[in-house]
Amino acid sequence: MMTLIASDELHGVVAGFDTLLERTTKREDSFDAAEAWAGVAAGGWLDVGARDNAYRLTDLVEFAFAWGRHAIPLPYTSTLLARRWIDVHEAAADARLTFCFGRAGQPGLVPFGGAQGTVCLGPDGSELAAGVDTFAATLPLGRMAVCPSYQGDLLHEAAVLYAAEALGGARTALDRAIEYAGYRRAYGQEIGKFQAVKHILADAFVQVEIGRGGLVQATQEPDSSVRTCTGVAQRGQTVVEAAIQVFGGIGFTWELGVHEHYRHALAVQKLLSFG
Amino acid sequence: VITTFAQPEADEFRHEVRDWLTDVVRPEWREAMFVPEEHPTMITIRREWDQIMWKAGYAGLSWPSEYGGRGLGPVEEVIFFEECGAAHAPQELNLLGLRLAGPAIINYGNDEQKARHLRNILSGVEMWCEGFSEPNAGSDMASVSTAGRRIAGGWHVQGQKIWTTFAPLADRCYLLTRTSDGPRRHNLSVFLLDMHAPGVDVRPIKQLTGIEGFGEVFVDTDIPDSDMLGTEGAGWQLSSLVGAHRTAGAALGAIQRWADLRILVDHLHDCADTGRVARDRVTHLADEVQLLKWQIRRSVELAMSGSTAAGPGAVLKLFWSHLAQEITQCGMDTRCDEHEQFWRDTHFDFRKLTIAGGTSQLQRNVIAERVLGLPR
Repeated sequence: MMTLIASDELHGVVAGFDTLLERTTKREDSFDAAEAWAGVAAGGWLDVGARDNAYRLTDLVEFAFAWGRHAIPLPYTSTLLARRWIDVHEAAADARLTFCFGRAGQPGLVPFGGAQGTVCLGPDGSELAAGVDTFAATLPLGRMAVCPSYQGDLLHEAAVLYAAEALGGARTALDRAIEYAGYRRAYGQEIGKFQAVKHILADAFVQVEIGRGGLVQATQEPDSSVRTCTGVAQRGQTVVEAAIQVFGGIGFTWELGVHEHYRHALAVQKLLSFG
Repeated sequence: VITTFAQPEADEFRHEVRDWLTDVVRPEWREAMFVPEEHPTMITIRREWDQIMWKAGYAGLSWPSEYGGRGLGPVEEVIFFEECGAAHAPQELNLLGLRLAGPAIINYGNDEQKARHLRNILSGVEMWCEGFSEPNAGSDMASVSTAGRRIAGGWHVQGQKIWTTFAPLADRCYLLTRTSDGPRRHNLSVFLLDMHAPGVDVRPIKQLTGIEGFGEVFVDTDIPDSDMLGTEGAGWQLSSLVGAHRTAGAALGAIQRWADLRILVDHLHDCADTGRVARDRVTHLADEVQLLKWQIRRSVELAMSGSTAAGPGAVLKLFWSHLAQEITQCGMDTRCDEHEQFWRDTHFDFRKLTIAGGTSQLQRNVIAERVLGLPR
């Protein structure tokens, strides 16, 4: 079969990446961005996007999905894409890179644009406009008045990978809600025993899975990928909303942190609206 | 096409099937496409289709050749159903013989049962129905109360089945029966019930569409030992095997549905000229149908990579069945004069999609408990 899903072998590689990210984010009280980035670079994870290696877009989806699961406020996906499509000779090997997402000559958004230590690449050195939308810490969006023209499939691939991030975050929110429903008790039993709760979570799982189908579609139908990916990110949003509902009161708190995935799914939709 | 396979044999097979379909599928069948599946007109077409498939050697594609099948793999099966869908071929009539009773007998039947049934199923001579649901055991299949009592040389079985698709047409029934007072799920057996035996009474049930598609089966009859499938007490496994077949079959079923949904969306585009529904809504539904194609592709790949997880089948069924209902609802909302009856018929018929073959609620329970691991 001309396979459109990642191989078992690739899933093994991504599991290694996932473990590193898990370790990086475990120490919530002392998250150190520089240290986290150094760890990702040292592991060679910035190289997976290089066009001379064997990874297909289908495979990169798995890396972006894993990254999205951990809600890390660093420009991993944009760096991956920049190294894949833009001439980065000048940049240091572990530089944090980004680009402008938008149609050439039109206004665009810059993931992590203006973020400390992040370099925005563009063929004609376009300047960032004032003001950064920091609604999502995991995807701050800078502005550019005139988006440069990039080569290749940069925009198509960016749409796919950011949608994968949004869906990865949604999957984490779902997993957390499932875990919670397994031990939180009400009326003398775990709330996960109530069908009213089960069915919310099952429907959310369906959304994640159909979203994964959407990512497959987007890799194969580049002409409509922005629209398809917007749909994927919307599904991600729906999933996070279901998780918040299952958590109840605690779901409405800042402390729980599910809002990070929520914000991310919404920021991705805003980003894609410029595609 | 939905799938593409690397092996050149797969392409050859695809072309073979496509050429054959061009010859045998009649244009007027396409007109009848959305006559409800159990309408007498459709039954006649489907019966004829079974014969055409059998004579051309396409019945039982994945059955071993020693039992009269083609001995081909899942790749060819997927291709076959894809091409049938694209060519608007009818659905098989003896579905439950070909996909339920046949595979179960191949796996668990004795030589005598294999000799007695398999060829007749393939040739369409022996039509099958499935006797699971009862008035007090629908989704909760393990609670069947149709009961067998030991007699010399066999069993006396008494009980009632309901919602039995094709019961009025069937020659045999895959009958799930309680045969002991043992613990739940270990107290069941499967009989290959002869529907023409004295003491087997079928009463058709008129559906909300006005068609008599399924029926009640009243059983008060002796069944010989030779009609028990597998061993006594193995009924639950034999019916869960059916579940496994259903999971693998879910992708095949969805492949067949996908072609139908594409035609429905085409109709929707035409009817939307009335201006009564927003174009956005039609576009959205068309997008969802296209997405379904890729989700099917993904499920096929997962199934072929050896996954037997219950998840993909349940996800697919939930997605396409609710999507199909949304499409027909939109069709009715167009208030298209020319197709009013068509949309009503289809929308009514499609109510069954979220009930039959495991209700949506059951699918959600399956996902919640078996995939997500939530407490029972």
